[in-house]
Amino acid sequence: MNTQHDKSLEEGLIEARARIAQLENLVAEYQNKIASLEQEAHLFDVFMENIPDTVYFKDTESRFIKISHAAARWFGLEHPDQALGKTDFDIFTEEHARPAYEDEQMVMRTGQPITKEEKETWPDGHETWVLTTKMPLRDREGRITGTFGVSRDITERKLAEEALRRAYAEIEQRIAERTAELEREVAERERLQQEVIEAQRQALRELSTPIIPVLEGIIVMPLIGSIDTLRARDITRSLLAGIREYRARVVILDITGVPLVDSGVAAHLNKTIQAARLKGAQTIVTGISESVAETIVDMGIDWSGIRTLSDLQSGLVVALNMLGIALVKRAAERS
Amino acid sequence: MEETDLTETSTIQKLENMLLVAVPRDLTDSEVLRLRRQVLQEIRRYRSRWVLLDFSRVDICDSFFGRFIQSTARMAGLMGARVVVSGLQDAVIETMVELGMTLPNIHAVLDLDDALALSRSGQWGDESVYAVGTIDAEALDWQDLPDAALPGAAEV
Amino acid sequence: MEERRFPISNIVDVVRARRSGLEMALKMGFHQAEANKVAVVISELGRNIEQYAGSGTITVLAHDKYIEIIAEDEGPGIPDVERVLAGGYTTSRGMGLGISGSRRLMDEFEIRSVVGKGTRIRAVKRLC
Repeated sequence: MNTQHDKSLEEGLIEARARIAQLENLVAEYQNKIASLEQEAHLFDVFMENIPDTVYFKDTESRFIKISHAAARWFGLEHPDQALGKTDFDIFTEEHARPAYEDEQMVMRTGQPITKEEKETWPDGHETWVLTTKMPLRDREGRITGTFGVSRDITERKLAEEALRRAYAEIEQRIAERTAELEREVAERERLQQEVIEAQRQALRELSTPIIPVLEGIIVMPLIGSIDTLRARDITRSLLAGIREYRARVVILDITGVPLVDSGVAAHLNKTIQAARLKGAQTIVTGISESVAETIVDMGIDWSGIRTLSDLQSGLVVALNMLGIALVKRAAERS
Repeated sequence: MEETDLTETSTIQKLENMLLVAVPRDLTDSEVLRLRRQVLQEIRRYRSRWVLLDFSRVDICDSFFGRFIQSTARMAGLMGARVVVSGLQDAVIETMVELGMTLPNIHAVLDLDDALALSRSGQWGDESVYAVGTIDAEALDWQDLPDAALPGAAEV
Repeated sequence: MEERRFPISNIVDVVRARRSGLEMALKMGFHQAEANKVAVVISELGRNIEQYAGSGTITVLAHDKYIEIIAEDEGPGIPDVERVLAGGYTTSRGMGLGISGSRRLMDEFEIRSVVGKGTRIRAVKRLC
């Protein structure tokens, strides 16, 4: 009789069946896990194969552990695996590789990601611009074991920005030049206008102080309009020049056309007469109207030293007398 | 300092009964006084009736100059010579008139031609006649004499 | 802006200063007659320095649109500036005429004088 032995066999069988069931469950579980991991891996592969940006994973020494296919193309490699174990220093020149390495070291040290625009410099001399984000790579326990990052090519955008900036600068330059040019033109025009105005003023001054040479040694200066300090100065200068030019010894200053003769005007005329005298010419003032005569006396203006007459004709006669010149009428011819 | 005889330079020249004085530019005060003294000496030497002070070369005439002209005229007048000024530049005249330095009692002409015409005509104008004599004119400070007509010969 | 200083201790200095002043004014573009006035003012002020203070300085400054004359001395000073400016101060040598006349010839005219310490006169003529 083996019933104990049978009993343990049966027990053992049940146990074994239970264990097999357990294992089958486990296998099924693992098969599920594997399926989902395979799915995840597949998704990751699809991602890394197709993403157009440069994606990379690096260890603590900034050596590539995995890169995207696009990254391989960007680096000029045939297959992503060719990058394994390499660093930026193997792909770029020191100018870009060094700061990139420093950035990764800082990311690992601080645990903080950074995003920046980078200029990549290649051994053959060309340059590209990328927008890069670098992040710390942590394991399940949260320990930092490297970095990973994404770089997007922004070279075109950068070139466009540069071109735009240059275009703006050029436009601003042109605007500044044109503005300066316009300012010069305006200044020049204003200067010419001023010259014209000045020439007109000069002509007006000359017109308003005409000198008429009558007989030998006698000049007539008819004054028209009001006489202020500036006008009086012009009159004096004009008169002195006229005395010189015509060798005048008598000046007839006709003030018929001067509307107002007050003490100011009288003083101006006095100065002019004194100046004429020092130049060697005597002055006769003609054109004294009744109102001017009244004004001069009423205001107490002293013109006692000045020869004055009411009209030009009388002035001429006196002038001739002063020079000892007599006008003789010729006798009528007999037929 | 060497005393140049101003008649040897062309500064003072005799022409007919007139003494021509070409007043140089930029004279110092002492040079002006020397010039005046020489003019008076020449008046006595030639018994000149006319002195022409020509200022064509003088472009700056301040109040001292005005006093020089006035004093020379009075002194020469006391010695029987009439002073006439000529050649005053336009700019100079403008400044003189502005300063009120109008040289009353002094006849002014344009240039030598008019001065000769004047001296030849024998006209003395309507100014008072100066005393004639051999007085040392410089002993009298001209500032003491009033601007109005001089006293008659008797007072001299 | 051109500046020229002239130490004044005798009449030759005054003559030199006024001649330079005339040239500076003409170079600036002043009309003959206006430049002449500048020269005469330098002459009058220079004479006063030589006569009353013995020595001093005249400075002529050619600015952009005006000419400036500064006459300074450490002389006895002017006791009654107002009267002098009004032309009423006629000493035997006519200092009053020099100052009141100069004021008429210029556009701006100021006197700063302290009896026993000195005098500073500033005159300005503007280019028209």
